[in-house]
Amino acid sequence: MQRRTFLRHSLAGCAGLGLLAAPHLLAGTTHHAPRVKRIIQLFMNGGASQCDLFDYKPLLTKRHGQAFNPGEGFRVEAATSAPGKVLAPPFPMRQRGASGRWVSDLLPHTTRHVDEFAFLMAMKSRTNVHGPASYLMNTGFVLPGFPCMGAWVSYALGRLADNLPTFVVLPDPRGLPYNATGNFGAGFLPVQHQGTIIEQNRIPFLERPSDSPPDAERHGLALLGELDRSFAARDAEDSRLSARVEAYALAARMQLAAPEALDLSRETSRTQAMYGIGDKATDDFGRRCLTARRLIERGVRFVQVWSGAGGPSNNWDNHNSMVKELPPMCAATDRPTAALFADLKQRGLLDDTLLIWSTEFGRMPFAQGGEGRDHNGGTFVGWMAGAGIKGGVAHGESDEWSWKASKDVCTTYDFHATVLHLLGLDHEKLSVRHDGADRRLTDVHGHVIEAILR
Amino acid sequence: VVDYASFDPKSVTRRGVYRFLFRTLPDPWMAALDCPAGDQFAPLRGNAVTVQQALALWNSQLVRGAAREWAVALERLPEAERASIAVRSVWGREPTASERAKLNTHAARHGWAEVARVLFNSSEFLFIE
Repeated sequence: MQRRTFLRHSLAGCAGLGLLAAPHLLAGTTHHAPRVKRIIQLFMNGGASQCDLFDYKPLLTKRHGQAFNPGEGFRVEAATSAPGKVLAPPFPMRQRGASGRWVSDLLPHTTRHVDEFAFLMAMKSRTNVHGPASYLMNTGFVLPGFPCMGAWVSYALGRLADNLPTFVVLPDPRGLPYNATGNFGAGFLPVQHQGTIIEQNRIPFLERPSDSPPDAERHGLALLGELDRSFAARDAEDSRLSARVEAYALAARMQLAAPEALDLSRETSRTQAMYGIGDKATDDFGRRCLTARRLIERGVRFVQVWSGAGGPSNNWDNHNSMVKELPPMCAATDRPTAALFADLKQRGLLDDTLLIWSTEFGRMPFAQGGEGRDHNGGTFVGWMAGAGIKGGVAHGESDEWSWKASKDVCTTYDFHATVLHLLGLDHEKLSVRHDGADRRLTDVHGHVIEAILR
Repeated sequence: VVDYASFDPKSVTRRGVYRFLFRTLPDPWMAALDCPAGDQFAPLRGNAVTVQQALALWNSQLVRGAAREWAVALERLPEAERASIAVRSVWGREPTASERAKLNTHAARHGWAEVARVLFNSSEFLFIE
């Protein structure tokens, strides 16, 4: 595509059209054959502890209570506190499945499926501060203002359904994550690609105002359609005008389709129980995982489900006590996560759906205070499962402390490059000219992690 | 104002020229209209037409409140003049006979606030040629 055409499309015209994909891709086309058509990403906000959940290091138990000494020439520091003594994981970890993956006893349900997950054992962040790290994991940049992965996917691939948004975010009802809605923004991409936030099962501005009767709504939209079509006919060149007619039609279809998609009472009691709906600990995350499945089934491309609010508590940011703060987070998410995987699988959805479990960084092998852990951008763990993913793989290793990533490191750029690759997108080709630079989700970095692909 | 759900149009009757903006907190209403977030440069912004915009303009209490207030004023006028004055105010021209008939029919069924809602959402109002 010529630069001039590209610029015209991206800066003026295209933007408009809620239904168009990226200017250099025809709607629904990709750079290569895709393995994945839709994604559910579970995001553990706060920095889930790799060394307590998956990254087993016997040295931590052996040196528990001793000074942390990684050897000469290392400067040891933590984000918010003075480094404490080495801290062993307070809960047992065991090797599970045929692959022998180490998993904490805090995750008894997820454990059952580890042979079908690909673990990224040595992910690495560029920062150990929540805000920038969350931006980095979501947008590929540590600064605000860039489009997140869901927005890029929506922009590149367009919609699968004509009655639901392309990219939906289900935040923790206890609060938005660090950066608030900045993690789901469209940045410089057109706004229709931003995450549509569904809170308490509601899409913003979707509901008919209570003081407007249904037939006023119907007649009003019909009248508006007539007026706008005849106005658009006066200037057939201006695609914005016909796009507006289509946007109202889509809005009306969404108004009809969304309540059905979000209605969990249509699921059997067996399915609801499987997700832990009805149990106090798992009810909320279970509902949101089930909602995510219903949405992707109906053609939503990208659903992000968040665990943990921003702020000092009710999240994975366990500064004070691994013993007290980690178990409730695991208890809330473990069963629903396992159920979501099993449910996607039994329904055949995993054939073209990718399930991602991620967090913004890990935690330190030494204590903060007595039994908490501080932020660690040096190494953390994430996993993926489903379409295109090799099961039972553990890619990468941290050092003997689970302090820094050491072998086959997966940067956030590599992670994003791999996800785009699965979608049939080349992360180096998917770019948008903005403010004098061709911007990519992967900035100027990123390598596809072939080792976890099948 | 960031919480538009609790916005009372009666409390504010002036237009905003200068307004306070949280640079890192996207304003849901302005975001729906594709206003760039305050934390980034946007030397040039494309025209976006989106579903969020349609939903916000069609369903938000902000627009409904304005429609209700305007309807009160319109309903003080003689019935025969309402459609003309409404269309002159939003579109800057006289309505055609057919437009006048359609607006009057809609008003007779659902009231002038619903007519105002349609007019505020119309392309002819939102785009200046």
